Amino acid sequence: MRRLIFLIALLFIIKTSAAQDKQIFFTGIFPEISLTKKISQRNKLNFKVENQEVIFDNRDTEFENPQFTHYRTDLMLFFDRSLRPGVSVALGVFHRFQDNEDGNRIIQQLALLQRLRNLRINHRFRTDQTFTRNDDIELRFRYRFSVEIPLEGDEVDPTEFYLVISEEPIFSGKGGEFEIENRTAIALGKLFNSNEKLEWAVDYRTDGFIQEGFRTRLWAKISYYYNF
Amino acid sequence: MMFSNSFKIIPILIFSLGIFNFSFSQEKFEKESRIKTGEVPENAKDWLRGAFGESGKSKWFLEYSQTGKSYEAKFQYQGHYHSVEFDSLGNIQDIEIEIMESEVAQEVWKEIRNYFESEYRQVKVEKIQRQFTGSKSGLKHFFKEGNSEAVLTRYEIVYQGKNELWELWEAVFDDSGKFISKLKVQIRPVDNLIF
Repeated sequence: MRRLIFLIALLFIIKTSAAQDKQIFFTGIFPEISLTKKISQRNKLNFKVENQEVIFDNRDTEFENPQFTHYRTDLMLFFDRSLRPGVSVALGVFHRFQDNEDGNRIIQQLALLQRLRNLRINHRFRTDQTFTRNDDIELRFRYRFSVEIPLEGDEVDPTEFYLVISEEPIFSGKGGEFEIENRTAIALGKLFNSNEKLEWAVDYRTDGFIQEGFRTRLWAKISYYYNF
Repeated sequence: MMFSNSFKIIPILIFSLGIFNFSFSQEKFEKESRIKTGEVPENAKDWLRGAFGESGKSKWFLEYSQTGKSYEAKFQYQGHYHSVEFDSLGNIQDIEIEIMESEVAQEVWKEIRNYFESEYRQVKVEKIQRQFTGSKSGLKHFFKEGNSEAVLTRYEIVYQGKNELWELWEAVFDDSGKFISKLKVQIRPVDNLIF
């Protein structure tokens, strides 16, 4: 059943992407590692590395595809402070390695967790400011809604699988121009023990809704999370 | 592209993580999984039918923990969420029913509130469960006829309490609202949802 849901979601995304022909489309792999260190009862530090490698890009010739081209690598560090169980605020710094577009970002975040009988729903609000050399500052507001669904029982226990479905609209302004991006992801996760988990996801991103150049990006994502 | 080559190793390393079995820490073992009704001992199903009739359409779960194997039925009955636990042989262990604060007798709630006021500056109650334990027949008579003589009633309350900082607790109170015990509740890390 799990495999079937995943396959249907994947087919739907690929079908939608194919329908957007003549628009920019690229796809690839997206591994990430997230390490979270508890530094006191209230405070945590999170370090995260994300790497995106392009496998197919419809702007390149058929001879260039498939490919394995570095798109970007992001390093992030967050200081997270718990306000009460399930509510936290965080401040983050970020550096991006990208061909001719290296950038820096500062991030402010509020996260609210709802613990229902058998679901965990998280609301993440972020504002960020991105600084790229020889370019205008980009200001963004993002809201991510994510729901974690246990696949065995009412709660996710060690060694069990779960699903995470998330949706995130991102509103941005840069040089007086407004833009919207959307990110939808579905992930199959496995909790190895209370400190470690691994998620395999399909991450579908669209942008260029307002300005010229509608673009879709489809990533096969794998994420490793470790808490200590 | 000066970072390109070195970055290519990152996805290969991370994608290969899936083949390892992670076991850096030892911890309390508890595993609950959904099972079909056919896998449940007949006497557990009979007891449930006898106490709650056919109206209780239940989901069954098998739970393994350090204390052994048990079966749990979860269902809505008369507007309340019920969890009924049976041992590995299908003998009834206890029943937990989620209730609202307004459903706790006033004098009992007053006692519980006194405890909260003496221990915390602020409290936010998240969940109240009325817990019933007793013999097989005692519990059955209680749910069929309301005879509570052979049944022990307790209240299990999950709440956030604030002194220096907010913490999450699960406390047990007796049928008159007197505090018995409490355990600090740790929320499983949400790093995958918040970062």
